[in-house]
Amino acid sequence: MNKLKRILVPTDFSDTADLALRYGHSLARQYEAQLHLLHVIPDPTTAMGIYEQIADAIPPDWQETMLRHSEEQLQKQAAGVCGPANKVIRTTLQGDAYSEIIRYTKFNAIDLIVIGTHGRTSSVHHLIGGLTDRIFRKAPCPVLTVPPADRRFKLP
Amino acid sequence: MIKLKRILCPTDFSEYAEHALQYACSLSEKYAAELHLLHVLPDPATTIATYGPIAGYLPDNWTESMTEHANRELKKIPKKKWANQIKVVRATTQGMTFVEIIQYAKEHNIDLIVIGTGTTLNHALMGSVAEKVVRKSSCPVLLVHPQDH
Repeated sequence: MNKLKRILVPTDFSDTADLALRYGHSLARQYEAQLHLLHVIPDPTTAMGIYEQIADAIPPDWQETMLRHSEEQLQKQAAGVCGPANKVIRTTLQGDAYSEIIRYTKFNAIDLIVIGTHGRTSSVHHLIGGLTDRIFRKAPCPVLTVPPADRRFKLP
Repeated sequence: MIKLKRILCPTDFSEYAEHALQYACSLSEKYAAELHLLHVLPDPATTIATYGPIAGYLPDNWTESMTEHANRELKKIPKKKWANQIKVVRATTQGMTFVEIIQYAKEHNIDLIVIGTGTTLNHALMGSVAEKVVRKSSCPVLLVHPQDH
């Protein structure tokens, strides 16, 4: 635990991701750790592979637009939660969110992942929920799961 | 902004629970939080239902002697260097593990649950317990995998 040097918060820019970043920020301060904020944008070729019909509808500058959008959002989220003079390391990757997060974790020797349990909209709820499941089963480091702020304890 | 006043670390006294306890202790120290150690005893009724033939072998004072044993084990943790720095609260309850953990967290306004997962036989037990806790908990849950995970 003394070796908590690098903390990763994967984000989809949802409120729950904001909350996860707040925890990550607090822990990073307590342990004087580096704070990494990562967003993974989907690979357009995956979408095209499944929906060939829409391949033409994807603008040629899709990737650049998404990338730029992600960079802006990362900066905004980091500044919003950690203040304008933050030292958050922001990264955008492209591909399968789960694989990229695990790869990033290993490559950067991350000691702790802080991740929200619910995504941005109800339609991605299952995707993100499932993503968190996979992350906490397979991550090579401890995982702090952060539920939405309005969550109540549920007794079965 | 982030408030961590009470940290709950459920334990089955395994090496995996011990590994998670190190994180719980460190966090309790950093945030000056109260550390709650909880051991959940199985309900003898469950044991009897599963192992009907051994029902006759369960002594009448099963719950009492198990509770006593658990309380003795709880007093041995955490290690002295932590016990001297942190306020520790110890509890033993009986029932379904994840239900008891959630119940305890709710009753004691727990801000964070730190739980270990294992890879051996315990994995089937504590591993699935950890997943159920994540699903039902309203507070953040720190899952600590074995070191060689």
